[in-house]
Amino acid sequence: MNDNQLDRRVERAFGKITPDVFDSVLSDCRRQKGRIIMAESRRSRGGFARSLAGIAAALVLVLGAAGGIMSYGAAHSPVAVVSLDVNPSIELKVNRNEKVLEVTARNEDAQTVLGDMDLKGSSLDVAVNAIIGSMLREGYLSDMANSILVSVSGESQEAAAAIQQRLSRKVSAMLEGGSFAGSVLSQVVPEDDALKALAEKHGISVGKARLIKEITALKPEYSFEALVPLSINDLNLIGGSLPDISMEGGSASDKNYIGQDRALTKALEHAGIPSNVIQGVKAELDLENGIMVYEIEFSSGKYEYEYEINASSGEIIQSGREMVEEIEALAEQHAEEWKAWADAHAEEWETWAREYAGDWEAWARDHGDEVEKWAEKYADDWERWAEAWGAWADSYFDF
Amino acid sequence: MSAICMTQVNEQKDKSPNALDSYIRLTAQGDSEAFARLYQATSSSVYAFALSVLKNSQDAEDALHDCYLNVYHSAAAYRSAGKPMAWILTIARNLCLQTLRERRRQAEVPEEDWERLLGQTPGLSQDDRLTLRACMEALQGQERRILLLHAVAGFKHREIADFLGIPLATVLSKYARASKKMKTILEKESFR
Repeated sequence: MNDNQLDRRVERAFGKITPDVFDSVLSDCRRQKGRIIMAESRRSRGGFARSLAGIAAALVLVLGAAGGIMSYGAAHSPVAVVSLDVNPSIELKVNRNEKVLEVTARNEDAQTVLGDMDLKGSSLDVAVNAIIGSMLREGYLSDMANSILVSVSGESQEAAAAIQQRLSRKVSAMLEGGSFAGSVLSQVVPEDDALKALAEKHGISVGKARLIKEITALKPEYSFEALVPLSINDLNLIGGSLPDISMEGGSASDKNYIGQDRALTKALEHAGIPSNVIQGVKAELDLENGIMVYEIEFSSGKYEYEYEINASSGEIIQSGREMVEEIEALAEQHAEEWKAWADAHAEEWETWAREYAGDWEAWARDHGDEVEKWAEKYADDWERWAEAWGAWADSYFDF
Repeated sequence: MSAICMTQVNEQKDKSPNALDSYIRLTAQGDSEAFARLYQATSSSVYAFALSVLKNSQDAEDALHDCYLNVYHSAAAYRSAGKPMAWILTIARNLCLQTLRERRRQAEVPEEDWERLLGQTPGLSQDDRLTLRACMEALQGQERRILLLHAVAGFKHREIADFLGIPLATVLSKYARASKKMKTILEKESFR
């Protein structure tokens, strides 16, 4: 049995035991879409209940106590939750008249922002005004960090969307009046117990949890946990545009960081290359091991360069260079010969590998530590070499 | 999705990056047949990988389900970099890590009884059973993941190194070791 036969045998066996969950996935996909329709139908019932409440109010004169209970219920039950996240994270529960029923500070910064303001009973718009004003005064919103997330959830998606649109416009206009342009992210958060539990577990608002989930869905290289400590501005910087998040105003501020241009200059200084001979420059803000970094890529002559630069300090965290073109050119030149040689010697090679497999295993057992040490020492060189060689080999061998 | 459609799909499983790319693009437009093709072409890779990490069939099945739910919802956000399988498996890997994190807070997850499980799965030949047991019981975790990514997901060694974040040299030597162990068991046609 050769490696290819073994692979096919393993593939076949795993193909057979893979359960077929497709129908269940598809029906869950549809159900999640259907939720919006259900929410609408709930809302129309809400409208009916409201008109009933209207009639009941008229009947108060006649029935007294009974009508009183109904209007008490309507005024005191929350129909929507609005959260404002910058780094301070504040949640407002409002009733159907958009009067604030409850204010929750989700973190210490939020307590600073709220101070001794008593927002209970005020209208939602007044409360948001006061909170944004305080965030500006306390310096949480500034030209260094200009992003804010407005999240709205409620029984009715449509009503929540209306609040979302109004508030995001309002907040954007408020920030525009100041000395810098804000970047206002907003979203309607669907009712989702799993999301609530996730937010609770990490001590963040449901809105921020949803934003992080959106980012990790688009960029699976980030884990949820790694993004939890980031401010909305940093999430805005690395998240880019997301399907379910609306954006108003300008883009996220990177003034807290050294900026792409300075990061590129640092990389060029390190590489000892003048800026007029480089091509294909890519510079991106990224999160690596909890640190914001600029990932810089460019090529010059035969070489491709890659840098990772600490976005706050400008320190070079990683640098690398690859001689891609030369190897490609060489490979191109000798591809036919090499392939012919490999085809001609395939059988010999197999025999040799079979014959010596035992010896090799025994040798590896005895020299395991040395090999590990050696491999560790040359790991980077080996990776670079393998990368360049592998790219070429891929087009000829399925090794 | 009708049964007829699924069998048609089954006959022409196309795992090439181009085919998978176009399935994902069509899925984003709400084409459930493309989604079915995508599922047919990649589900055994996702399941095999989940099984190799989670070592429990129920958890692996849950991961499989959630993975395609995620794929469906993020299809619109997918940007082709010529690595559709790596994209799907990255989603699967994140779900598996989440399950492992949740497990840490729970009591020990019972060891899967492979012999019993395989006995309950219809349509397996003696060869299949032997292959599956050898893979799940005789290989070490990393060896198993490397073998499965190579055999089922069709990754190149270099892609496996990228995906698992380990040096290529490690992938090559562990693949060689895994394949040798498997061949020894399978050629003896008996287990232990």
